[in-house]
Amino acid sequence: MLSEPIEVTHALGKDLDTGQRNVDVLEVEWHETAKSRMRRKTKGGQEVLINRTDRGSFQDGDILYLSDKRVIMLRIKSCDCIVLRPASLQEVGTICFEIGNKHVPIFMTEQEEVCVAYDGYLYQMLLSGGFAPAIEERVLHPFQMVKAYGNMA
Amino acid sequence: MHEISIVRNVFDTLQETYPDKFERISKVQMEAGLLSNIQPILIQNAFEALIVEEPGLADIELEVVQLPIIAHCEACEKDFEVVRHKFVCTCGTPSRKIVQGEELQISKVEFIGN
Ligand SMILES: [Zn+2]
Repeated sequence: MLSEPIEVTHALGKDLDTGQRNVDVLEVEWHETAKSRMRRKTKGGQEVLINRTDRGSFQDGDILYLSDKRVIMLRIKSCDCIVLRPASLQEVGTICFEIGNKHVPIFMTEQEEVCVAYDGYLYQMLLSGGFAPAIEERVLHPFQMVKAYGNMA
Repeated sequence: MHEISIVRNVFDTLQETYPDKFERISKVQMEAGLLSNIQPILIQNAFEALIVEEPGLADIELEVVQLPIIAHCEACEKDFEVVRHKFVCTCGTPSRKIVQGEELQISKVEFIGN
């Protein structure tokens, strides 16, 4: 086991052939994928220093490090999410507007669900707004983020 | 933006609290409750925007940890975790008496070299 932290400045890619290498996992929260600096331990105990300057986001499954013997892969932790299943495109618009006002990132899944991380206020707001919010455990993927609203602070 | 001023305030407070050690701060941990009305992503994004303006802060890691909602049940005199917005104790008694979840605070500061 290496004792020095491994410095990661960018992801190496997602679908690399990792062969027989040992796969170690670095778990992060969904809201940490765009952090430029972060020091964390992998599940195997290896310290990793994320130090990126490109303002990009990591995706679930990104390979961060590859050596002869091992691979470090990033995994995004699941969390409680508010899930809405709008009946029409117009409803999608209304929901996105309501949530977008709070500047919280909105995620659109392949099943045309609108997902957003759970918080008590947002849930209450959607409930009072007459929507039918469900709370389900999901992984929020950066690539599913809707970019049309004021996501960035 | 509201969140930017929160993050600015955090670093102003740290500068006042640690005038001699501020330059050596390596990590700041904040806690945001699920009822604080501020999601961690907003703090995180605000910090990323702040370091563009103040590159001196770029070596600091800001970590935001989310705190679950905990309420108090008067019937069993116990605290319980509010899971998936169910403000009901395991005994069946509903309660909105919040004991945790509304906070937004600095919880830990780490320095280089100690
Ligand atoms: Zn009870």
